[in-house]
Amino acid sequence: MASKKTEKFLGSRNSPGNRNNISKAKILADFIAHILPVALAGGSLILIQIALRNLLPETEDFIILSGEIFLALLILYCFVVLLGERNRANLQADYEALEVKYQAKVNETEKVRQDLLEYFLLWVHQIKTPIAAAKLITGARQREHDSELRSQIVSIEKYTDMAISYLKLASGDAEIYVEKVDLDKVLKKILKKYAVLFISNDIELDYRLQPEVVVSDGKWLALALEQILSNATKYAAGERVYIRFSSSDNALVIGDTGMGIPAEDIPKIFDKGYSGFNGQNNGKSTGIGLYLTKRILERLNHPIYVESKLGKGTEFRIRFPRSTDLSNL
Amino acid sequence: MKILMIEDDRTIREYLGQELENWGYKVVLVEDFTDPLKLFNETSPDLVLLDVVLPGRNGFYWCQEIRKISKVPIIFISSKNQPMDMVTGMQIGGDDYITKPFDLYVTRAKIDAILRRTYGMTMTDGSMTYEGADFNSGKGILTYGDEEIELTRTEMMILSELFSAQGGIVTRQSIIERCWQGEDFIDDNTLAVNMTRLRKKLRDIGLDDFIITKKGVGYGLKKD
Repeated sequence: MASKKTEKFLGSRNSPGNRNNISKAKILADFIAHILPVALAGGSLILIQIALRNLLPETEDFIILSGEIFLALLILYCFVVLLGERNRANLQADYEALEVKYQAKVNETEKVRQDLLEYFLLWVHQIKTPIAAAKLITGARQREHDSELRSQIVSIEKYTDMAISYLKLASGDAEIYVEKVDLDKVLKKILKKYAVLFISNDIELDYRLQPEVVVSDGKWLALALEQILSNATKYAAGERVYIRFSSSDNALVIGDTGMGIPAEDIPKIFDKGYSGFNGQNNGKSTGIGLYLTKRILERLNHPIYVESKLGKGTEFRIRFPRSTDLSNL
Repeated sequence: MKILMIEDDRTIREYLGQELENWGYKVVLVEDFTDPLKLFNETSPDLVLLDVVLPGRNGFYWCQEIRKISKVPIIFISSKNQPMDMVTGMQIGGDDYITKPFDLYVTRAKIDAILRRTYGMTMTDGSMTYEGADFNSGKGILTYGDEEIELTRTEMMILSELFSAQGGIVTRQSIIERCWQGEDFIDDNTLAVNMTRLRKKLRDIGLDDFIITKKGVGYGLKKD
């Protein structure tokens, strides 16, 4: 049939399947579209030639010659068009093959990424067991160095939790469950988790939060706030940390009287990789804690503001939508 | 009261088990995970602590199996803390869910709550005694002979730590940590102030020098 002939002529580099049939049909259609007018022109030319030969017999030779030349040119033209079509068909086939390869590559990369994420999720769950065991061991008998050990364990726990949040956020796997969240409960849980760090670093905690219900995702919110409090244990050692709620702007306020942040750095603290300023940090910070906080709070639509004065202290304000502003979530 | 623990990590089994026994419970530990149900039937516990990730069948499976034959309260313990895991746990028949790493105070509170709900009583409402002084943490009272004193929350935490040590020395840090776990966020100064006040209260009922100070280390109940 016509399509089979076209395939043989155009070469068999097309991939099997529907796409192939469609492109073959298209090529055929294009071919016909190009050739048809030419064939018509050629046909009418032959007819004119015959007519002229009969009408003007003395110009016969000239007419025949010119007619033949013209016919030859027409046939040449047909071949050129056909070659062009064949070229196009081959390029089309190449393109489609490339597209298939590309898609396969994309899928492969995605699978590798998924595998990695799954592995890390598994790893985090696994590692929680020895962390739990270590905490139990150091909690059981209070010896002199056990507090130091427990501080280290809490730090390990913190980094594992941070790792998994980062991975989830980075891969867009962050599901959000919106619910009523009591800030008092969330904060107390974090404070109890980091208690040993606050206490070892001689921090006075001024906790003035009452039960305060907001609309949010408790888990993600806790992760965001954890970073701020964990930073406080480092940068407000020997100082005071205060936590309260401001009803005027419906905001959670976490502040400290610690070393503060230099003015020019304040806009940068939420950047990925910001790990403190000169002299205050010797590479101990990962630089992603506050970055995580910002990303999470952005997703939850709780804007965060920071005020700080070098040597005086720092204050974070996190605004929560009032119950009437639910459309923002 | 008997608690059956189905947890495959040996360290957690030992240490958590020890803590539970300190609180007054009898603890049975499963070590053969091919059939924990056998031990369950043999010991008829009052509460089951069930890890989710286990060798062989997982905790959800064993929960279903237990539910076929018993309504005993089951608390899941697991490092999986996603809402989906907890929902599954509850739907399968669990009564509560504790995530690793443990907060011992939360764990204890949850166990207490469930036992109270199921049986009307728990082990930890009791008191601790030391050399004639009886400390009831549930009621917040310390009794010595005919006298009794009421305790503030901080004072209760302090005495909880001291009585648990039964004469051993307890670091200031651990007392403060204990207070923090009880959501009493005190610092060194506050502790010192509370200690002074507590000592005066004790002196008033005849317990002079009941709490001794070991310089540079901490506090302890006096040893005779």
